[in-house]
Amino acid sequence: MAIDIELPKLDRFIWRFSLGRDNGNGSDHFLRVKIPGGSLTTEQLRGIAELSDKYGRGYAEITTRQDIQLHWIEAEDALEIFLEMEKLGFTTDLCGQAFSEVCHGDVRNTVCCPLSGKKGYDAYWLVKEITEFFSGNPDYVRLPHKFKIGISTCENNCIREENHDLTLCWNGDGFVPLVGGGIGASKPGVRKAKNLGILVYEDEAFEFAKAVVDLYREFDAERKGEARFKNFVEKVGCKRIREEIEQRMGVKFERANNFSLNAPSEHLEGLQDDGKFYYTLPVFAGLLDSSKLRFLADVADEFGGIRLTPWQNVLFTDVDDVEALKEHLSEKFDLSKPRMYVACASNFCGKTILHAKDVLRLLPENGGFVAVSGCSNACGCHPLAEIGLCGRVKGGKQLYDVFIHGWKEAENLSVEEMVEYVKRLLGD
Amino acid sequence: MELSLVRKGDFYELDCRDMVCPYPVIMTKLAMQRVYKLEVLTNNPPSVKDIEKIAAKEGWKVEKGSEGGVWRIRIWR
Repeated sequence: MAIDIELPKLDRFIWRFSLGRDNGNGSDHFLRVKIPGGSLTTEQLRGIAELSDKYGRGYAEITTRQDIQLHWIEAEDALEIFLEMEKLGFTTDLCGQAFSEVCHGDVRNTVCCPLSGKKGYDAYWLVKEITEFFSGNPDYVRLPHKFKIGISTCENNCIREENHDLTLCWNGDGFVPLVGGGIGASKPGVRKAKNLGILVYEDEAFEFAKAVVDLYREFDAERKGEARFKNFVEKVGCKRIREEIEQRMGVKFERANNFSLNAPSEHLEGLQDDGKFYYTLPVFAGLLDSSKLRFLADVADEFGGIRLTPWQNVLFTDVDDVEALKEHLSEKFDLSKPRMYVACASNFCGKTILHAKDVLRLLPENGGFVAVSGCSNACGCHPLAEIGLCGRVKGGKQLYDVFIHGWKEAENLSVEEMVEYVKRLLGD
Repeated sequence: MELSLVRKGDFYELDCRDMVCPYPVIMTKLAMQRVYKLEVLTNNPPSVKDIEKIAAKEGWKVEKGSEGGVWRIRIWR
């Protein structure tokens, strides 16, 4: 005997919304709200503040992939939350990290230069096409592992082009694709994305991205630790990937020679192409709360648009009077904070004793790129930073390794030793 | 999508394998409104804790075991 109950509402949700696993700070689950290219409306921002108050103890943080993450989410509240998110026009990453098998990989939030279209080429049309096609698409929710796409349109390398499974870099004529970036410890280790050396024109860009993901979908990885796209790229090489995609798309790509990779940096403030101004508000370690989210929405309504950056900051666009904007923002934020200090949420994954975001507070502040990851999964992007710190707990003691431009310079330092070491490096 | 409860002895079996979080919990909660002896199958570790939590909250008894990466959580009242 069986009981069957139709659940039409769940069909809408099951591949578009999920909760991730937390294991620290008394939180069992996080909710990672996808913000494609970090672009959202003030109404959506207020909506997240509401969700945070109602379900997440009023806390929120910006991630290095331009999402907003809430914590302390109860699984039994999820349906209510998903209904509210659907009304706001959001989806989440499909968090399958708890499964030990190779399964439930999806295309994560598409990262894009937040100045795109304000200064230089506007790639948000491509962000939208990629997001609409892949988010919740049942044909693309069983990839071997997560798949990360970045779109770069500036010379700052603000999206850290090296660090995506697929990066499409605008070079003025078309997109130069880089593949197989991934800086976490999974096999084959830290890999910066490799240039495919071709030019993909605008009208081929979406199909190209799809062809790359299709190729990855067929990767028959045996173990989860070997299933990232970087391992596939390592195994088959750029030449074969290029040929395979050309064959699938029925095109022969031009060679791209005019592309160079700059050191990653954040946009600060300046002039847009239309004569208006932009300004990046430093948000220390991406830490926010619901009242700050509402405040940012109010300020944006008064001064211009708002976009989240891959440096866990908030960029204001279309501003007429930057000084007035700063004065207003300084009511709730310290504008002197560094804009290129990033850290992961190790306080919630339970892998640190002294957490990554708290480590940032101990360091002298300067204008360089300083990144802290709680572990070798490198969620804080430490291998790409000028000074990168990577935590590990050994024998109940918190230790940190120090990297300079990705090279390990010191290891197994206690927190005190690490702070002194970094102070010396920064000449403090 | 369908919630399918299959009678196996005294218990109804609810197969939530390969479902990401929070769907095993949502399905369990719905099933708890229909039957009072339930065995939930899941291979998603965080869902095990969640199912235990809602069962305890509703005053149901819990028993669990795992084999080959799959948990069988028996809950009843």
